[in-house]
Amino acid sequence: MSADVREQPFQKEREGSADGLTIDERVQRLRTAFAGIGASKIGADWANFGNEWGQGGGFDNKVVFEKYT
Amino acid sequence: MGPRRRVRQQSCLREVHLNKSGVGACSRARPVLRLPGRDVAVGPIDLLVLQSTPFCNINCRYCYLPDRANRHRLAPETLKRLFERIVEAPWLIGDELRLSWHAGEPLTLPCGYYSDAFAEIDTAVGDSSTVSHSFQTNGTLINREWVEFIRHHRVRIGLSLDGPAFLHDENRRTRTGGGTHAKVMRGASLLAEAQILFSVIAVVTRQTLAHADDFYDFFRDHGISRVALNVEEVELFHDRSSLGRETAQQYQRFLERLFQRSLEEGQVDFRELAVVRNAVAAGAQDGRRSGQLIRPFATTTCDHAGNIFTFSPELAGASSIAYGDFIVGNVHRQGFDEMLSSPAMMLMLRDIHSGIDRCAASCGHFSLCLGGTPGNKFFENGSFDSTETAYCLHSRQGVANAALAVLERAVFGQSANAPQAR
Repeated sequence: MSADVREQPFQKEREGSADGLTIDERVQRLRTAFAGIGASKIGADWANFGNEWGQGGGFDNKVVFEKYT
Repeated sequence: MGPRRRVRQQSCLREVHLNKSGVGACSRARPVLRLPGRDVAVGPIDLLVLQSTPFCNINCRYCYLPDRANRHRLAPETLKRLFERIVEAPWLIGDELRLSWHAGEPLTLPCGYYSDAFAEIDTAVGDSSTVSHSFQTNGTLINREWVEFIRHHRVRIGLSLDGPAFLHDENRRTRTGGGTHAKVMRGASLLAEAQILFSVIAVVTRQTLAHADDFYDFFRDHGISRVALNVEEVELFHDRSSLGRETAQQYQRFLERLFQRSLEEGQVDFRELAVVRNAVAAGAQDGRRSGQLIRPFATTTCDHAGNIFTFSPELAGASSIAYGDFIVGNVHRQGFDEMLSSPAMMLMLRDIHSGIDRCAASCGHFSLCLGGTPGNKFFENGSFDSTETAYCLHSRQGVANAALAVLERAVFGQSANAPQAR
């Protein structure tokens, strides 16, 4: 993979970012911050949402179901 | 009914023996398919989509399903054969066998159909995995009998609901053109009365983009806390979308507003924000994300005739000169081991991975996206061996941009130009 193939879209992302970082750099910066403050405190976990395609999620309703079965 | 015990399959990829067709296997291992320069692990099934019927009682404007007036059913003998085939191939079975009854409106069949089907599946799978059932439903047919069935059988519910009535009824209509929102909300109320929580898949159209706050308020006001956003896509029989490349920026702003409120108010969670949040926290190669639509049989679809599809479920019913009808086999004629080496499987896999390689070489979002939306690539670009789509501008790049911006503001403060000391 030549460097020039990657340079254009990465440049586009730098220009689109307020602080000139690539997506990878922003992810890494956030990841470092997450590690310090605990990711569980920020937003929901994708494990709750099922398949990448969008199906098969839903709540397991454990308490409701166990109450009746 | 408690969860059944599972026996975890042992992974022994290193013990694979390759046969003449390029398929490797050992008795207890996940097989691999050999492509030039890489081996691709196969299975287990993350999601099994079962088309109990292609019929749907409503007629959404953006529906991509080609056969929704067809009242055929997945016959008991076909279901039985499917699960015999799955059990014959233990590499397909993971910790949890997650079934989604979909690709038609599942609730147009009677409860008794599913009682029999669930019993058949329980018998076939036994203790080898934990089976979970979900209905992806339009909600218009939910009544007290269904609520009791859902509770008794612990069925997870995904409701298709596009937000407030003025947005929903624009597209989700009856066959005579009437709105369906009131009926859906009656079904939702019955679920809520029974304390059954459900998640929602909302289709976002161009019209939705101007109403982020109405959209968010609707879900908050109805206590619906888990929402997935599917953009209106070009797929199968729906060959024009109200969204195009020109709406990607507007969609990003729409998402930013939703995500901002979600983080600040904490009452409605969005799948899209959660995906990025997980990728950031766990690393871009998060196993759940890295292969559900590109790993053979990770997502498996069985239509009512027993035809098997993999990769994107939307491929069921499509056809092309290059890939034929996308069918990798039929449970009445082949086992899954044989399907692995079908010409359709190998051709699709080769092109999907070639397309992903091209995404990796050309897209700054690759580490979050991983290039895997083969159905959209095919329907928009005509080939799996391709890169950017309008879908990925919205649902991958737009989602990543919006989620990162909101997460950065949450973590680093409003300016988000530099990390603040914490």
